[in-house]
Amino acid sequence: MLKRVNAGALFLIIVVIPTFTGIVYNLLIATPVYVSEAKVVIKSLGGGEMPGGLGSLLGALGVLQPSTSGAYLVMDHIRSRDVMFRLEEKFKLKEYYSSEEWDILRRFDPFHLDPSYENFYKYYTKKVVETFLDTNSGVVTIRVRAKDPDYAFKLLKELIYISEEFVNRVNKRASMTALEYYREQLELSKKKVREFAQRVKRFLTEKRVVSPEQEVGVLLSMVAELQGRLISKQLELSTVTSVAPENPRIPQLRREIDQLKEEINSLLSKITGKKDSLATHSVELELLKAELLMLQKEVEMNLGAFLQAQNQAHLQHLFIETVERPIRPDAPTEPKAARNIFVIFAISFALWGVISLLIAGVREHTEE
Amino acid sequence: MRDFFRSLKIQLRVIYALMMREIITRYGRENIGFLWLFVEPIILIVGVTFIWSYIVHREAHGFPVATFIYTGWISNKLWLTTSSRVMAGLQANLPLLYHRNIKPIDIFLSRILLEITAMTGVFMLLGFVFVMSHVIEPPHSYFHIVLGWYLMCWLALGFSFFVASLNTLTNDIVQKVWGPVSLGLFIGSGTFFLVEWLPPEIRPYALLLPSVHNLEMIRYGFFGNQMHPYYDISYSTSFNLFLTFIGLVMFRLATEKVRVE
Repeated sequence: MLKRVNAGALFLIIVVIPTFTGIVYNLLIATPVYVSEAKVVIKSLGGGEMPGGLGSLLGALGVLQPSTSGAYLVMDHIRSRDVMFRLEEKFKLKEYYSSEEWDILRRFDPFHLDPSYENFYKYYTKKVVETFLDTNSGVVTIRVRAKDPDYAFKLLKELIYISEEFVNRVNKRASMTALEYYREQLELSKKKVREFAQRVKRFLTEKRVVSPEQEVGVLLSMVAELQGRLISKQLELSTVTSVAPENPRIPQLRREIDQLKEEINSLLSKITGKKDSLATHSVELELLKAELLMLQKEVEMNLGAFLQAQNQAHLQHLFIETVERPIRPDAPTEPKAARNIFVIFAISFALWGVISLLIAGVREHTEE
Repeated sequence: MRDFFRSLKIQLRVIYALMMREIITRYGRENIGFLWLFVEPIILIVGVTFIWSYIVHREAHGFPVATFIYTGWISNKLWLTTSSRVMAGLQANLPLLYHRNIKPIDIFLSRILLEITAMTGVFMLLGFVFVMSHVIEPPHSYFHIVLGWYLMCWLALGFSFFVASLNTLTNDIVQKVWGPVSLGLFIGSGTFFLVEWLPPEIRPYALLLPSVHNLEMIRYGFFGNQMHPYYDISYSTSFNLFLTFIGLVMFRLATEKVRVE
């Protein structure tokens, strides 16, 4: 007899009371919750996650594919403190979800134990927004729960707007950083070339040379001519001295020869003298020219890199598309009362079975 | 009607007594005694879960292996161990049938109930401990776990009747091939795979087994929307119903045979 009473009490405590409480809560107390749902898909050129370089090939062809990493990025952003605070500013989330109109299990911080935003963030990610990714199709589902349909609807619309904005910002940032870098490099090398050309110009005007090689050529031909004349004068002198040593033309010839020699020397010193000679100018100019060429090559390369970066930036872009627009729910879909009651009953019933078996097992020991 | 309830009461008492007897005969009263009923599967499940998740793989297709192996192993062990216990039960307990109030069905039911209760206890306890110690993530939907598990228990009941009766009718042939058959069923029921991992052309064949549906349900309850569950509650239910019916019919034939012998 005692046994039966105990068994009945056990059943009452483990099964009947929880199930009854579940029924009362789910049917009478629970605040009806409206769920607003939307679906978006994040796409990128070529997808990028495909094996064997197929992704980049498709990207090059301009094929848009769902991007898993992009989807995770957006999901993480939606469930971030950043977005929570943005929503808080606009919709007063915390106040709304701690309102007395919520039943005690659904309400945020019902006993005012920890009203911090850290705690609310936990609540926000658990009970306010829900996101999940269908890895097969790449579709991200976003759900928002609230006690009024309008609130859920508005919140979800804002979330969609925030995700779009986020994707745009990511795109801009991704293309900006690479492009900006290459543009800077390009500008820098261009500036270098310009400055260097200026230096060459200054050099040319200061030294009063235009083209040292040609000038040297001219000078050398002049030297050659003078030398020719010098040789003929010298020949003339030697014949005159051998024929008529007293010839009055001899001193004049000697003077002319000296003059020619002087002329030749001065010309030669212009070409290869120590300072300011054409030879030193020409070497310096050659060096300058070589350097200029190098700088020009650099500009070319930077331009190539810049153009490539421009193309790449286009490739990295993410695109967000709304598959299902948010709709204002016209009926509360939670709590799923029948389901919840069934779960409570099923679990408590199983628990009762196990505990009764345990107790019976223990009793077997004492009966001996 | 009153007679029926009186008989039911007697039958329940008989089943209860048989369960107690089974516990004592199987594990005795030494050391922890009947607690072995729970400890045995706990050691096994904890062992395989840790071996698979910490030594073999941590993740498979993006799913945590601990949750995956834990759910698969225990769910399929539930119906397969139960039926193998029941199969061995009738022969071992034949002398009991000389009692007027003990019928073969009581022997079957007591063993089934005992096995199911023990496994359910292990499932709940380990689930609780694993979640608390962060070995597995908290479940996403209790509804699916509970539904899948109860359908699995029902399958254990129907399948036990079917297999044990078939064994009696075929003079223990089933028991001789039971090793490979149960291993095949264990693997084929999705212990190591999700239906979504299979090539689409194989999926319909995998989904012929109701245990695959039930396991998909249980796993969906744990994983939530990161997996694509393939289950059909009405298929699983009608399969169970049909199997139970067939099992009971065969059970009648089997008891006839036992009585004649």
